[in-house]
Amino acid sequence: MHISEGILSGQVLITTSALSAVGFYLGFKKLDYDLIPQTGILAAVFFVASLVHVPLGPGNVHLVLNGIIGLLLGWKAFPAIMVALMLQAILFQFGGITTLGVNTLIMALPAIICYFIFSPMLHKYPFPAAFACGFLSVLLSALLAAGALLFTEGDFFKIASILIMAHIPIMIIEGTITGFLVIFIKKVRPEMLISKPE
Amino acid sequence: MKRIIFVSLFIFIFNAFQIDIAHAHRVIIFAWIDGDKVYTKSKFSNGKPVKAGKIIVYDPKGQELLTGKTDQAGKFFFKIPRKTALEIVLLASMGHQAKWTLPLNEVLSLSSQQSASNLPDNNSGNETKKTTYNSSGSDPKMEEIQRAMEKAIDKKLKPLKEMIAASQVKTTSLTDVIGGIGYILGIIGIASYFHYRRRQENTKND
Repeated sequence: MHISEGILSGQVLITTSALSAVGFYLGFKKLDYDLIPQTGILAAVFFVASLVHVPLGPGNVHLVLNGIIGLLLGWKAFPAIMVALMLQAILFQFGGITTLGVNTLIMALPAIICYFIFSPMLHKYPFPAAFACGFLSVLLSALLAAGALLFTEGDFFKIASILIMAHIPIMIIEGTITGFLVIFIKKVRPEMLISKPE
Repeated sequence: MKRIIFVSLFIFIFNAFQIDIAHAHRVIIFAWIDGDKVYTKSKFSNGKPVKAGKIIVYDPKGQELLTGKTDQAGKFFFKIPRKTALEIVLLASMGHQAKWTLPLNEVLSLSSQQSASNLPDNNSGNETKKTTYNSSGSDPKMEEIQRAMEKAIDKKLKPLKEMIAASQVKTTSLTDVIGGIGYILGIIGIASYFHYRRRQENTKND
């Protein structure tokens, strides 16, 4: 899911970076001091999740965990994911500095979309809503990545189908992880779950 | 109690997928020279070979010299097309790309003298070709022995060259992981420092 440097054209990089910057600003504005530790720890979880490699299916894929990050952080997922991606680019050479904007958008935008769709349902149907959130956020990320590659690789359906096929195991695993985490959080710290997205 | 559950959940997730720090998500290409050929090997950073990945070789000016596809083992080799530095780019699917550069001096020195002199020179105006085996040129027997020796040495060195090329690739280490988490905790620390300093100032002013 991390797009490497030197693949995308300048226009795509600039547009997506600008959109990511807007998202970063919106998230940063909502970042109260009291919420910094929570945001930081979830950024660390996202940072490490990409190292958990899942040896299933045709592709070579790893956990993303953007669904749970979106559910717990809302707009603050943008700064959290951007910081984590920057450290991954510097330390692991995943993605790259010039592709930071596009990679942030690919992973953080689905997190926020799923946050708006699923967090109102969390109190009524915690497990199904959380499962769908984890599942859909990875699916949308794959679609966005395919969209970004469209301008360089041409055939959207071919890229999208390769990416989605490779990520099907991840979608199921992330859905399950997100589901169990939400049930656990609901039991021990229900105030962490945001029921009215804004 | 809650903390213990959290920690054990975390450990469970890690063990369930047998996390190996070297298992990561990016592609790697490395290349080494043997005789007048360049050998390349492409793999994902968990060690799986990149099958049917596209390989493009450029010269330093960005001119495309040749293209090819990796085989089932992720390998691809080609004859050195010209005496120039080579930039080998691997395009794997899903937006993955990696690059390996063979500098000019490596192309010149590592390719055995004889075969290198047969290659077309990059500066076509330069007609002074190196005369090979100048010292032993008068004795054909010596020449043969020398050639056989070089061949044997090349054969013995091949796995070593591959190992050295592979070891130059940077892989993810535990230090990187801990370092990254440390950076994030550091950012939290800086933010809380400013927060508490501002709160202290406010209480002083009150």
